[in-house]
Order: sequence, then structure tokens, then C-alpha cells
Amino acid sequence: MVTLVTSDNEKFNAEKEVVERSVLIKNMLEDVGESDQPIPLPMFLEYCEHHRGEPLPAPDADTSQDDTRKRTTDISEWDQKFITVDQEMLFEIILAANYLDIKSLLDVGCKTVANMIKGKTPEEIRKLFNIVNDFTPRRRCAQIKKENEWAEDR
Amino acid sequence: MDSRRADELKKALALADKDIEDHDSEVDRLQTQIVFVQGEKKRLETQRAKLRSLLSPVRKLPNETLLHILQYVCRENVLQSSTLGLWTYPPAMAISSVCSRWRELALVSPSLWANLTVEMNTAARARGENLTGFVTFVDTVTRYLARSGDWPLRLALTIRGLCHRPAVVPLMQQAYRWKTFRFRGVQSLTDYKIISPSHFPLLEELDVDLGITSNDLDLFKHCPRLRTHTLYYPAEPTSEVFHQLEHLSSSGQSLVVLAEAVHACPLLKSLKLGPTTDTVLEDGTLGTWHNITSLSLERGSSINLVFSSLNLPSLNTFVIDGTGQGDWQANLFTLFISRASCMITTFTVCGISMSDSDLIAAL
Repeated sequence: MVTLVTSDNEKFNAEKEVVERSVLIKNMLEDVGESDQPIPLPMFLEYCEHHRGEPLPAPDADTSQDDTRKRTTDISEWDQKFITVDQEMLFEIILAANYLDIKSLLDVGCKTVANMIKGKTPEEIRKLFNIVNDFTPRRRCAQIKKENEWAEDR
Repeated sequence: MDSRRADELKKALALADKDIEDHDSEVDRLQTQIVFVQGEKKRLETQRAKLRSLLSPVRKLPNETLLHILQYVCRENVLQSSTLGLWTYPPAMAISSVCSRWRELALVSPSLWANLTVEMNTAARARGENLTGFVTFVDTVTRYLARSGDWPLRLALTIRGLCHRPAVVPLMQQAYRWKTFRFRGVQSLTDYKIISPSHFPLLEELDVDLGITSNDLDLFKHCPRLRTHTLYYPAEPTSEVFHQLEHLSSSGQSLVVLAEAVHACPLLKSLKLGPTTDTVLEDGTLGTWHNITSLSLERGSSINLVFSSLNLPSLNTFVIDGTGQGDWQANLFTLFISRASCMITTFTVCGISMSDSDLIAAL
């Protein structure tokens, strides 16, 4: 058993097999060895518990960046429910999954955001994420407008 | 009217004029104030939007993670010369127009621009419809090609009508970096005369509806990496490309013709079967296909014919989509499995109505 401590100091006990879905924790456990010292962590036990036993992606699984078309943005029903959170929490999960190196969770988060973006116009994307149109000066705005003329005319 | 009365009226008139003048001044002052307040409001709105954007959670993502998301978004960029049904904003274009950070990231990431589905409706152009739109469409295709740099290209090309060479040639010139190529047209590639037999060093996946009389497969003789191909016609199985295939998809094909193709592919490991043209086989069997480890029976394939006529001793992955296929023939399936003596490790079934006992028996 491993003891995890959340950022607000709550302690959780979890099996090693569950928490090792995070490559970061796996490496930490390997470095530290058997120890009673708690590992400080945000909560991801629910996700790791659910996916316990599933094969972990190979370390070099994401190196072929050109393989984007083959990747599907489908998300399993359980993962979809898990990731149905407000935008702030969604990005927190992505950041944490990135930090903890939990590839499958990072993928679920990224796919969720990708599905939110798909099919939207630039203005709709800005509105969705509170992004400011900061294109300056005018010449650059005109260039982007010209590039998008074909799409905007639809 | 006496002069006294006239003076009083003049005084009243002068007062009224003055009051109107005062009111005009007041209106001007207020209007200036409105303009000022409106300007202030706009400035504050811009400021608020900026402050909100500073708090926006998406800002926290490092470029590497943002790119990971954008790659999912850009799995397919559909560019249509004229809208044929549902249209969506091509994602790489949308992303590069959101803000300067996203634009910079998009412009240095050729992978976002390298998944292209180009649908060219030259029939509409021939009728003189939307000519300016066609020019900007060609510009957009060219821009995508330029921004994808030398990144391996996944290209799906559909031509409805005659070939408009200025639009197609830039795509054909990139054949050296095609990773996948899918083509649909009212004519074959050979008839369109848009591509000559050449070397395709990166091509791994070919899906070309060649047509019965087409020699298009001869165009793809030199594809050292080609592993996946889709058959739509009674292809000549002696074609060199068959010798290196590992994955074969088939649609609208006779199982007998497919069997010839399979025997011409010594490296073939996986087979995806779409609708087949046979209902019965003359000699009742297709023989043993030793190397096939994965079989996917798609919607419309003759499931029962496959069960009764094929022997796949190495099969370990089996996917069946039985939508519209009628009742599950449990005895045929049992016969198929016992004949092959295979060890299936992944079994996926959908679109089939079967009883619990049949499902347990199948498992």
C-alpha cells in the first residue's frame, strides 16, 4: 500500500498497482523504494482504480506525432462521465495528468477539449475559452481575414 | 396689435430662442458625454475581456499539451470547393485565426496541416457557379500544402466532374510524401491523367476505387512501404503491390476473387470484409488462409458464407458487425471455430441479435 496526500492534506491509501498507472509515481516509487513516507499528490485514484489492470501504453507510444489521423477522439462512457467537469477542473486534470505522466488520462482530457473545439469558428473558439483576439497590427488582421475568406463565405 | 404687446411677444420669442440654444448646447454636451462614456465602456469591456482571458484555464497549458489537443482537432481538414451537405470550418484554419499564440503554434506545426480531405466539385465550376469561390478554394489547398512543409501527407481526394488541373496538380506534386492516399472520382486516375507511375517512398495505405477497367494499380508499383490496400474491383492479383500487403480491405467483391488476392499476398495478416457479391460458393470452400490473424466482417458482408467456407487457423482477433444480417447461426459459428482450432483473444460482436445461450456458447 502507498499513502497519497492531496494538496489540502487529506490522506488516501491505495494499492501500488493502482497508483503506478502514473509513470511519475511509478518512477518515484522505484527511486524511493519501500518506504512509509507519504507521497504528496492531487487526487486521481478514482481514475487509476477504474483502469487498474489495463495495459500501460509503451513509453514511446506518443512519439509518432504524424499519426494524428489514426487517433480517434472517441471516449469511453465511463471516461466521459469522469471528465464531465467544469472547464477550470478539466484543464487542471489535463495539467495534472501531464505532470503525473498518466498518458491515458491526458488523452481523455485532450480529446474532450478537442471535441469542444471541433467545427467551431475562430470567434466561437475565443468565446468558448475566453481568449482575446490580439492580432495586431491591422495588416496582420487583414492577412488572416484574406486567408479565411473562402471559409467565411460558406 | 399695439406696440407694447408686440414688444412682449418679441421678448418671449428671444427667451424661447435662448432656451433652445441652451438646450442645444446641453444636448451637444450630453452627446459628447455619451460618446465619451460609450468609449469608456468599450475600453472597459476590452479590459474585462483581457482580464478574463488572463484567468482563462486554457492559458495554463504549455504549448506541448496545447499542440497535443490541436492534433486531435486537426485529424481531418475537409476542404470543399462548394458546399456539399454539412460543412464545418477547417480546423487548422480556425485554430490559426484564434489569437497570436495559437497562430504561432499552428504555423510551426506542419502536422496540423497535413491531414487533408479535398472534395472538388468541378461540375459546379463548369456550370459557372461560384468561380471566385473556386479560386480562393485552390489558394486554400495550396496554403495547406505549403504549411504542412515536408510532413507526411494523409490525403483523401474526391473529384466530382472533370479534372481542374490547377487545383489537382499541386496535390499530385506532393506524391513523394503521401502517407495515405484515398481517391474517389467519376473517372479513374489514369483517365484523369493527373498522375504518372512514380515512386511513393512513404505511402503506407492506399484506398482507390479503381473501377473495373482501370489500370490505376499499375501507377502504384513502387511503394516500398505500402502495407494496407482496399479492393473494390476484381484486381489483378499478380500486381507487385500485393506481395507486400499486410492489411487488405475488400468491398463489393466476390469472395472467390478475394481468395485469389489473398493467396497473392504472402504477408497478409489482417482482412476487413465489406459487402460481398456471392450468396453461394460453387465448390463450397475457400480453403485455408494460414497467415490471417485478424478478421473484421463489416456491415453487409456474407457472415454465414464466411463461417461455412473459410478456415483461419491463426485467427486471434475477430470483429463481426452483423447489422441487417438476420439471425445468428450459432451452429455455423461453432463449426467455423472448431474447424480452425484457433485461439481468439479479442472478440467483438455488434448489430447481431442473439440469445444469452448463443452468446455464452460463442464465448
